[in-house]
Amino acid sequence: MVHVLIVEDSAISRELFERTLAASQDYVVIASIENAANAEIACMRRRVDLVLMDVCTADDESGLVAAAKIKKHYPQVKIIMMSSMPEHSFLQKARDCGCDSFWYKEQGDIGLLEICDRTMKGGFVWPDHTPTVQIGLARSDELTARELDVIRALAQGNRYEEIAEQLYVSPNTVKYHVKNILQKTGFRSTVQLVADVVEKRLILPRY
Amino acid sequence: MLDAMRKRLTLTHAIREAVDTYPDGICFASVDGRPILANRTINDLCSRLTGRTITNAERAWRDWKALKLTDTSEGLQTGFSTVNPNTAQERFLCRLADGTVWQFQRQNLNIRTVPVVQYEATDITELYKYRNRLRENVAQAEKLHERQRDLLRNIVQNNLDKEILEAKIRIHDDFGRLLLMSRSALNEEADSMKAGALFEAWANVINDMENASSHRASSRNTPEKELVQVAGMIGCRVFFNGRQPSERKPLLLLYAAVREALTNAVRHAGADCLTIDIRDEGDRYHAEIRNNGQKNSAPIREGGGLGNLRRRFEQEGARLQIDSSNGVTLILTIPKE
Repeated sequence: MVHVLIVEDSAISRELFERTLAASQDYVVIASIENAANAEIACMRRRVDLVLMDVCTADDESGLVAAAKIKKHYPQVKIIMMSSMPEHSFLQKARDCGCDSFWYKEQGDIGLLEICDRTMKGGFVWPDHTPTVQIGLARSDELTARELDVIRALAQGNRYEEIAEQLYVSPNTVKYHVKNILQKTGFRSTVQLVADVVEKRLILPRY
Repeated sequence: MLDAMRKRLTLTHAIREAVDTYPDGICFASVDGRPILANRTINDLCSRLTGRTITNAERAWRDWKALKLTDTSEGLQTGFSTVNPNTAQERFLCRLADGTVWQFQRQNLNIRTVPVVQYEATDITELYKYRNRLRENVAQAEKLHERQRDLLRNIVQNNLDKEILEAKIRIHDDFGRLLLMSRSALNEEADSMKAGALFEAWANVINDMENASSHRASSRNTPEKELVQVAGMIGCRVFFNGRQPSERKPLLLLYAAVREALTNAVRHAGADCLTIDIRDEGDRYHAEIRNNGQKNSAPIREGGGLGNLRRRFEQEGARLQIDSSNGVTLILTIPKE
C-alpha cells in the first residue's frame, strides 16, 4: 500500500485526487494539506511514500521549495510535481529540485493513477513540453528561452539596465530582445506584454 | 629699433583683434586679478551683469558668482558647475536679463612659468534649454516606470480577483434563473417532471455555493488548523496563547517561525509540545515560541533553516532572537506594517 500526501490549495482538486486514489486499492491518502511549507513536517515521522505536490499553494508557498527540502531530508520519498499553469520554467525547476515526475493536471494526456503507478515503479514521467498559450500574435513556443528570461525580468519590475546585469548582457542586447518580442507578439508596450503573459500564466513572477 | 617696436605693436593689435573677434568672452588676468587681456564680449557681459567693465577680474568673478543660477547644483554630474581640484577649474551658470544663459569658467594657467588666470564665458542658452527638457523627460520617465511597477505588482492579484468575481457572477446568474423558474412553477400547475428537474437544479446550485464557500475559506487560510494537523502527525501538540495577527504579512512570518521551531524541537530536542505566546504591542507583535524538549547547553548552530528564517525576518523589518538559556526559545518582534 502506497502512503500518499496531497499538497494542493484548491479544495475541489484535493477532493478529486482523494476520490481517484480511493478508487485504487494500492493507495491510501494519509493527509491532504493546502500549504507546501507544511509538507516537510508531515514527512518527518509518518511513513510517506509519495507526495502529490502542487507548485503554487496556499499563502504563496512554493511546492518547488518544499519538494527540494523533502528530497534533501527524505530522498526515498517520491514526488510528483503538479501544475495547471503553462509557466515555462516549472519543468526545469522541478527537475532541479529532484522531483520524480511532473503532471499537468488539465492536459489530460495521462491519468493521475497511471502517473502514480509508473512513478512508484521507479519511472520518471515528464511531459515533452509546457502547454502552449497564445501571447498576442505569437504562440508561446515561438518565444526563445532568452526572450522568456527577459519577459520574466520585466514582469518582476526590472529596468533594462537591471535586466542586463542579471542576464550578463548589455542594455542594448536587452533592448534588442524586447524589440523582437514586441514584433512577434504585436504588442505596443512591455506593460501590455507583461499583463498578457501573467494573465495566461506563462510567467508567474513569485515562483 | 623703431621697426621692432612697430612689429610688436602690430602683433599686439593682431592679438587684440583676434581676442575681440573670439565669439565667447575671454579674459586673462594676473593672480591678484589685474586684467592683462579681456575681449569686448566679456566686458560687455560684465557690464550687463554688474553695471561696470572689468577692472579687477577676481572681484568681477566674485560678483558674477553671486548671481549664479541656483539650480546648477544638480549639474555637478553633467559638468555644468563646480570645481575640478586637478586643474583648479571652476564653473557656474548665469542668466542675463535677455534670457540668455552663460557658463562662466575660471582656470589657472602657467605661461612661461608666470601664473595667469583665464576667465571664459560661453553662451549655452540652447544647451541649457535641452538639458532642462531632458531633466523633465527623465522625471516623466521615472514616474511612468513607477506606475508600470505598480501595475505589475497588482497584476497577479487582479487576475485572481477577476476569477473570483467571474465565479460569483456565474453563481448569482444561476441563482437568479432558478428563482424565476421556481416562481413560474409555483404560479403554474407544476407536474412531477418539472418538480423533479427543479429539485435537481436547486441541488446543483446549493452544491456550487457550498464548493465556492469552501474554496474561499481555503484561499482565505486559517493556517492554525493545518499546522496543528501536521504537528499531530509528528506527535507534537501546538498551543497558541493570545490573539494571532490579523494582518497577512505578520501572520505568515509568525507561522514561518512556528514551523521552523516545530521541526527543530521535534528533530533535535524530542519535544511533544510547542507553546506560542503572542502579545499585541500597538504597532508590532511580540511572540515567544517554547518547547518542552530536552534542554541542551550547547550553543545553537544556525543552519540553513534558522539562517533562512533570520534573513526573511530581516527583509521584512522584523527581528528574530534565540534564547537558549532554558531550552530553545524563539523571540519574535514583527511590525504590523
